[in-house]
Amino acid sequence: MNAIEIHNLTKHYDGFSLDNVSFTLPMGCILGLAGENGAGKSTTIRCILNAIRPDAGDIHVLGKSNQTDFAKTKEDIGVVLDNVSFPNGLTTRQVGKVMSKTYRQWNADLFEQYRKRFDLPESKCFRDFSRGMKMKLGIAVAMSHDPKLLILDEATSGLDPVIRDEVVELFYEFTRDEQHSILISSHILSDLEKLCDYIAFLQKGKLLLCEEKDELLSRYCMVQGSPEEIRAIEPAKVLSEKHTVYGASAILRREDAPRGLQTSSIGMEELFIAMVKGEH
Amino acid sequence: MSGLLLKDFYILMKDCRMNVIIALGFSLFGVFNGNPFWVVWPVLMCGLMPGSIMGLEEQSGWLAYADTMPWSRKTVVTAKYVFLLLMVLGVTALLAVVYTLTGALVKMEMTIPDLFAISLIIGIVPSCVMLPVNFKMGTVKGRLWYFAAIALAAGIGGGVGALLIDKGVGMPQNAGDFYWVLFVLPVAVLAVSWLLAVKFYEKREL
Repeated sequence: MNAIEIHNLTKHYDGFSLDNVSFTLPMGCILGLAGENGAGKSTTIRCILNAIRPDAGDIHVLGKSNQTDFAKTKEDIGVVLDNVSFPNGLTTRQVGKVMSKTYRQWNADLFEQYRKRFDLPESKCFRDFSRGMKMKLGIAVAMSHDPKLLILDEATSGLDPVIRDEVVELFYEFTRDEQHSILISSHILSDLEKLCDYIAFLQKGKLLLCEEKDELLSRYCMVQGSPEEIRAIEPAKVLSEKHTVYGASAILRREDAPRGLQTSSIGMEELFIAMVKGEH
Repeated sequence: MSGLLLKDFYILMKDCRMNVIIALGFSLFGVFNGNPFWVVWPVLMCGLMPGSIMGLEEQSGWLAYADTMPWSRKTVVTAKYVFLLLMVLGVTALLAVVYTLTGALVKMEMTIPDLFAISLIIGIVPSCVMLPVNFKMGTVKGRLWYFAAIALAAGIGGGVGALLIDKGVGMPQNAGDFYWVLFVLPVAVLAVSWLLAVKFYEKREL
């Protein structure tokens, strides 16, 4: 069974369209949704969560259509949106009590452990939380009811680097169980690179690719040489190129790299920027 | 649904506490001067509380977040109507006890069924006018619609009343036979309002 299956998802707005997006998140894996601001990441996630109605396409979550008894399916999903929003007057303790009457599998002890781990005050109102604290509370709630699937929309933004690293580690631990999966959208590509098995690139509402991360990264490389050597490469093969006073470099498919030039592996961020610039 | 009701109770106690205190304070006036107006005011205030809570939830972005949790839209709507009923019936029961014990009900020339009939109409109908629009378009537009509807109802009611008085039409002799209408009307309005609110909210994009 796949954790998420999306077929031909289409949603039109004035000035933006999510266009025929299809991808699959296998059970036990982490899929990173990458793309510029406004690429359609949040729209895709909102369609998955049935918060907005797609114009076309179908979505299956944990083996069931998200149009059929989705409230029940949501028992097994933990969600952290980019803007964690609990009622402003509620304290952490009250949020815990409300959630204990919301999720059948709510684990109050686990929630308390996360509260302490994230250093969240028990009696402070949500309105007085910093953005980082709000994100941490959202993550604690999302992980305290034994979910099988985490859907995280920019869940690591607003966290300081130490906590972010800890949270990324937490997500990683979560998928050690083969029945657990994560869909994460983030513009912090280092997080995606660290976490994900699969990467989906969205660009202006279109899915550029959805592939295994290691395979994707191994397919591309960076070649370095003099400006003349880089300019000599057939332009159609070059994803992006950069010229500095120290020399020049280009990103291209490994099989297209000219012999004799120095090649090196590239990271997700370099590939992402190259792809976006290539599209522009 | 109990999670949603508990959350509403927390918001009520934290952010609408002053409204509750004012409403209960007003009801005490009825104990002393025996004017039925002091029944109307607290019940009306409590009846509007679900709409006020919804406004606060909207400000905090909770409605979109709640949509990620294991509640259907129908459950979210139903919880608001259940909370409305609990508020109105709870306050009315409290008034019934206090006014009976203090003899205020006798001074007002009212019975307990009269008290509940007035409470149901005053407490439930205004909220039922507002909630479907709140669920369809948000609380800001819902409030505008509410004021427009109340002004329209007051205008029509005032006009018709003046016309009847002008024509010398008084209260029918058998008005008491239609006493049950006072109970059936708010229940019918509640049912229609709930159905509309569910329909609107299920179609709304959050």
